[in-house]
Amino acid sequence: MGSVLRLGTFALFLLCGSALHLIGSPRKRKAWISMLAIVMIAGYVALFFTAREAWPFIVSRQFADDSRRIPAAQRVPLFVLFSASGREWQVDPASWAPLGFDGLWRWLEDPEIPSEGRKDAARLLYEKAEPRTMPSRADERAVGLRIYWLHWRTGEVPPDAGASRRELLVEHRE
Amino acid sequence: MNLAAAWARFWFSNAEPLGLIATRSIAAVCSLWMVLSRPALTEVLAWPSVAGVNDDPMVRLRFLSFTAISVERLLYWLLVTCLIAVLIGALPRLCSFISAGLLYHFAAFSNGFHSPSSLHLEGWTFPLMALAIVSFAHSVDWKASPSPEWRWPVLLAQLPIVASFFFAGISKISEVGWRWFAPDNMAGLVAVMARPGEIPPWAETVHDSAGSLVALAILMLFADFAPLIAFLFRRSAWFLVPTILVTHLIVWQVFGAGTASWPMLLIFLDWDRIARWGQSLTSRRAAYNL
Repeated sequence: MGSVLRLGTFALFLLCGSALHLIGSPRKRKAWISMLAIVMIAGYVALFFTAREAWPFIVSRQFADDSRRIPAAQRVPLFVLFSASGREWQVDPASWAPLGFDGLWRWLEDPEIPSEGRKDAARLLYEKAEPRTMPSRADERAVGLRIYWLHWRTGEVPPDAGASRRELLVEHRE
Repeated sequence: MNLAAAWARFWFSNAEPLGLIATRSIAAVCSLWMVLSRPALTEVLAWPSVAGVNDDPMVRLRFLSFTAISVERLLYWLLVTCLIAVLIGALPRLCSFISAGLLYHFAAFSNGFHSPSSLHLEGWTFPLMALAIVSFAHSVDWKASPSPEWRWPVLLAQLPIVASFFFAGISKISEVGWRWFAPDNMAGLVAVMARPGEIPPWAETVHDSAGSLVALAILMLFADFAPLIAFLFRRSAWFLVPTILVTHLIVWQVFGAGTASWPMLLIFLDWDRIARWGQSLTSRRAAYNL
C-alpha cells in the first residue's frame, strides 16, 4: 500500500505540473504555480516532522547524530576472495555495479535471512567478484568468496587494528 | 509591501531565458553522468532473487518495473537519447518529462530494488525533480524576451535542494542541539566513518585537531542553510555556491561521503546577471568590430 501511495504521489505531482499546459490565463497560471509551490513546501515540512520516506520528495537528516549515542562496537561486512593456498584479496566494490555496498550491507543485517539464502548470495557474488588488487602470481587464482563481519571499535583514527576481529558469516568455494 | 505582493515579486518577476536553459542543461548533464556511469543498470534484472536483489515485488511495483530486460535496455537508451535532446534543446519539454519518468523508473535499479531509502544519496533526486519541473514550463529559447515564465521553474527546481539541505541543518540542531558543534562530537562522527582499511584521506588530520573539527562543524552547518539563502537572495549565490561546493569536497575527504548530484548546486547562480554580462560582452565585441 505504501509503495502505491508513493508512486501515486509522484504521479500526482507530474499530473498537477503538466496541467499547467492547459491553463492559458496568466492569472490562473500564477495561482496554479503558487499552489504547486505551497504544496511542495508544506509537503517537505510534513516529511520532516513525520520522518517518512517519500522518495523522490526527500529531506535529509545526514550527520544529525550525537556521537555519544553511537555504540563504540561497530561492524561492517568484508568481502574477500581467497585462493587454494589461502591467500585473500578484498573484492572491488564496483564488481557488483550497479548494486552498491550499502544495499548488500542492509540485506546482511537482516536477521531473518536463512543460511541457504546467504550461501546462494555468496555464490552469485563470487561469480561477479573482481579483486581490488590483482594477485601477484599469475598462476594464483581465486577459488571462493568469504563474507565476514569485521568487528571494530570506533573512537580512534585510524582505528585500533588490535581491537578489530573477523567473524565468518558465509563461505562459497568452487 | 504585503505578503502576496512579495510572493508574486519573488516567483513571477521577469527573468532572462538563460536561467531555465541552464537549469535543464545542468540537470541533463548530471543525469547523463548518473546513467552513463552505470551501463549495467538494466542487467540487475538478470540477477536471481538473492541478496535482497529483485525480491521485493512492492518496490518493483513502486518503480513500475514489470517489463522484460530487452525492453528495459531499450528504455535505457531512450533515456540517454532524451537527455541528449534536452541538452541540445530538441523537444525539451517532452524529453524532460520522459527523462524525469525514466529516471524515476531506473533509480531503483541502481540498488537492485533493495530499498529506496538511500536513493537520494546516489544523486538521482535533484536532477529528476528539476527535469520534471522544467517540463511543466513553457518552451524557451535563447532569443526569448525576459519573462516570469523563465523564473518560476528555476525557483521550483531549487526547492527540493533547499528543503533537503535546510532540514538536514534543522535536524542537527533539533536532534542533537548545539552540542553537535562540539569538537568531541565531530571527532566521534569522523571516527565512526573511518573503518579499518577504509580511512578517508583527511580523517586523521581533522580528527586530531580541535580547531579543524570546530571549523568543519561550522562549515557543514553553513552548507546546510546556504542553499536557502541563495534561493532567497540570488546575488549571494556567487559567494555561497562555491563555498558549499568546497565544503562538500572537504566532507567527502573527511567522512568519505558525498553526493553525485553536486553540479545541481550551479542552478542557484544568478543566471540573469550572467546573461547580462554575455549581452554586454557581445555588444562590446560588435562595437569593436564596427
